[in-house]
Amino acid sequence: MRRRRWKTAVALFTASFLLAGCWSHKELTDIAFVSAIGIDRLENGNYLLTYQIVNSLNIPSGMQISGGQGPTVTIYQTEGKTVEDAFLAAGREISRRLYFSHTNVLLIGKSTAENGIYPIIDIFDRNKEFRNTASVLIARNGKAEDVLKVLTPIERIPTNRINKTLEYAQEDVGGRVKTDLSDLLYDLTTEGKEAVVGSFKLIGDKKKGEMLESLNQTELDAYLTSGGIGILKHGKLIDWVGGQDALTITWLLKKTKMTSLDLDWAHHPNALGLQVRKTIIGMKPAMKNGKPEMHIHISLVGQLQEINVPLDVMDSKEMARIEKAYEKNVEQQINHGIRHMQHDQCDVFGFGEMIYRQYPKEWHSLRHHWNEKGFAHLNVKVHANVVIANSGIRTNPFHSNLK
Amino acid sequence: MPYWWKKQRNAAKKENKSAKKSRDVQKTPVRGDDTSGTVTDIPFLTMGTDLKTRLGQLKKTTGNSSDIVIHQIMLGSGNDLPAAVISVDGLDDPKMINENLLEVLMGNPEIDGYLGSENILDSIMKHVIKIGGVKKVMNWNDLFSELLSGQSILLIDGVYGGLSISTRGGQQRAIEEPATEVTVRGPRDSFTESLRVNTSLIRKRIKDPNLWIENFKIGEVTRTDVALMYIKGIANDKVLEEARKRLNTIKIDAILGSGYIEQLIEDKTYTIFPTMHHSERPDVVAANLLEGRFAIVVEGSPFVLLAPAVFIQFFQSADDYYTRFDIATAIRLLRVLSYLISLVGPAVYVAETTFHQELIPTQLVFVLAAQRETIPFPAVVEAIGMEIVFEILREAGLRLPRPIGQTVSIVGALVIGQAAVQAGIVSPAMVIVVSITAIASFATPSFFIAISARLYRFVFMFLAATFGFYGIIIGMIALAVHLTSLRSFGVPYTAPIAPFIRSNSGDTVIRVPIWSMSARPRLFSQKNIIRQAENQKPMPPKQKSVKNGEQP
Repeated sequence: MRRRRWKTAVALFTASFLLAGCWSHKELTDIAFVSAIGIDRLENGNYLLTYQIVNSLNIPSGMQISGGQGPTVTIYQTEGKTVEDAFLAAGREISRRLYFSHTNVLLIGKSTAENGIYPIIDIFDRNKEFRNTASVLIARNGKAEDVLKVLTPIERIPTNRINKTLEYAQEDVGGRVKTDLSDLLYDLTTEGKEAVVGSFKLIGDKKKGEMLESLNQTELDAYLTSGGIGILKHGKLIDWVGGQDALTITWLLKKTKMTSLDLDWAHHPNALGLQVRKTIIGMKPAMKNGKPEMHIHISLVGQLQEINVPLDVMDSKEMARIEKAYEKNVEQQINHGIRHMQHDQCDVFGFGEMIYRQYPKEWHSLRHHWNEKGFAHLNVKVHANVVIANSGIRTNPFHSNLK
Repeated sequence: MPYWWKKQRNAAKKENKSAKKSRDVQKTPVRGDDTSGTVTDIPFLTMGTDLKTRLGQLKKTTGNSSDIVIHQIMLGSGNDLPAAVISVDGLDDPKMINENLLEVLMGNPEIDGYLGSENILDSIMKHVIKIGGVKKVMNWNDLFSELLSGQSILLIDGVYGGLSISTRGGQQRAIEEPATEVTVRGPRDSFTESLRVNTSLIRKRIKDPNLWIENFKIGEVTRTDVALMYIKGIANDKVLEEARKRLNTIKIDAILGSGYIEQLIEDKTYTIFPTMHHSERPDVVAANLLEGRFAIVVEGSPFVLLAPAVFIQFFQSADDYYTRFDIATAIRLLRVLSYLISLVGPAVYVAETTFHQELIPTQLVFVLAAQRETIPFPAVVEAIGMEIVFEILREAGLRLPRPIGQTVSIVGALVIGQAAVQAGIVSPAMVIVVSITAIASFATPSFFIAISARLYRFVFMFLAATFGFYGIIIGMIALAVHLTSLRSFGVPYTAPIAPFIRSNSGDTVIRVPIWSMSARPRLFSQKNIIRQAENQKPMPPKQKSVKNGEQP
């Protein structure tokens, strides 16, 4: 009995090793880290995939502080009828196995996005290596390959620059979004919500931007910068939103915590600058006479960062007036942004989803053509509350004491 | 006679017997049963009364060894009775023999009265010799065992038997600071090679008549003194009975250190984990005795064995009890962590770089990849190679004489740390991993538990190289199964964690304050569990006593 138990234990133990196996074994020197993938649709209908591969030998580490001689990334390009087809073609070109676990950026060409992203997105969701946290972007002016080819200063890996820029901009400035793959898929599949994606663009001479020498100067020949928000409807890029309307979108998506707001005061344009430190947004759908409407409460707390007119900061009544003016401004701005989206007939804010959650029964009658019939004519009431907490490390500006 | 020979012969006898199917009771081998002519086999009867014959016999038996000193003397005022004082040079105390023994025996008129009397030995023992510890020896066996342990033997012509007089002396190492178990706040004494000194050091700490010492003589040739120490009433009687049984079954020619005893009586040989604890610190031994363990002190070894041992004990240092409890707890957790690092450190590195690159933060993986770019070996070859080189360095540094040992470390540091990296054979990250692993293995208080990690590390590296983290987890499970299967004198090795004992869990990887450790480990001492009174937490004096007008 005891002997048999032993035999069983040993057999099970040995079998457990068969469950695993060495097939996932891969040395660091056998894999090519893909930091970004660019997808462009060619005129013949094929897809052109651009892989930005990290040239790890040239990454500065340890004793060689300045890094290696060459650029930190290398570009490979393959073509195929589908994305998978192009991946296969990569195997014939690259000496190492492509490794997608550290891919941070999926960049889609503008024309590709306009034609719809549905045919290219599934493989990245399904691939076990590709992470859902990689951000999905659109190349604002032109092709994805052009953006990926540009070398960046400060950040040695260009995707780091892209991701960090968007992340910082989304949270502390507003008007920019960093949508990762899982967010995008959620938005694409959720009723009553449309997707938004961030964008990046190349400014300058793209040929020079590919050269390592271009980094050896203070003013770059070509550089990357973040672009506005791309609006996707049914997986197709239909509009670009920038400026104040983009800020409205990131506010209502609760992605922005801080920003800066200008205000005309005492007949001076842009006399006051408010640095918002804290943003609280509440959104609540309501039914009025069988028709849905949205109530939006936005509450901003900030400090006066810039005062270019004589002003008595210590006067609380004056400050209350400023707060009132700010509130009016913010309400106007949000209304403008919402109207923009209503004009596009594209519910990127997810109002439909909120109504669905709150009034599931009523939603049944609203869901058909929600964007066109419901959202486009939705009554949205915006109420803003602005609190000026302080005025920096000064009270009254020097303007008040000028000779 | 070597023990193995005896065993062989017994086996042969047994075979014969079973072949014959005779009903004879098998004779158990007893001393004197053999006729090979060693010391053990001198029959009782050959000890005569004639001094010359006896001295001749003695010289013959010891092969006329140069360190056996025979002082031929004459007793009585008229110098008419020949006698001899025999001692072993180096084991005795010559000053004591000269002043307290030869002085009073030679030409002493006191003895005149007893000359010719039947019990002259008794009289001399009682009235003449002014040294404690005198006893009669009546046969050669006793005589030699007394003589060779440092006693002086007095033989008188025409008188049967002799006297054994305690003149033990000889060179002894002084009590020094412990070399392997250093503490910051603990006492500074440690055991020596002398059994008596060692037992006295323990006795000094536990002044209780219940501290009992049982003596054993183990080793057919070395006849090493072995003492079993325990506190009657606290130690578990069953465990003690088992210990006695195991000690008595030892039949071996020599015991040259406590490691011999440990290996002969431990529960399981085929394990890498020590199932008996040992210490060179009297305070540690005293603490363990008070917890209900027993100690085995072996003559000639400064390490006292302690059993039953549990796994977690090897992560505890004497200092834990001398410092504050919170700090002690933090340090113990650190030790367990460092043990884990020393066990799986390189294995995790190998698994991450060859299987699970997605687990490494992006920036780090690029740096690692850059370092590995020029390395011509797979990560596992690099790791195992570096570990072996490190083990060689450690072993070489350990055995070499001190002045050369430094050279080894310099060469090692230069070769491994500097040249190998610059030559592009080893990646800097690997050097870091190996160094962290090495340092972590030194952070474990017990060398003998650290050495287990040292060996298992290679198994884990192999598992990691073939199966990744899956292999490491399988290895961990196998290790846990093995650990829980171990017993030390009947006590589960992983107690009080694996059979979870709530009252004892305060002294494991954590250490609760002293005042709350009120129970002894339940598995060792089953009767006398309570160690201290309850509610001993220090508190400010109550307000009442002030009101009573003591001192404002």
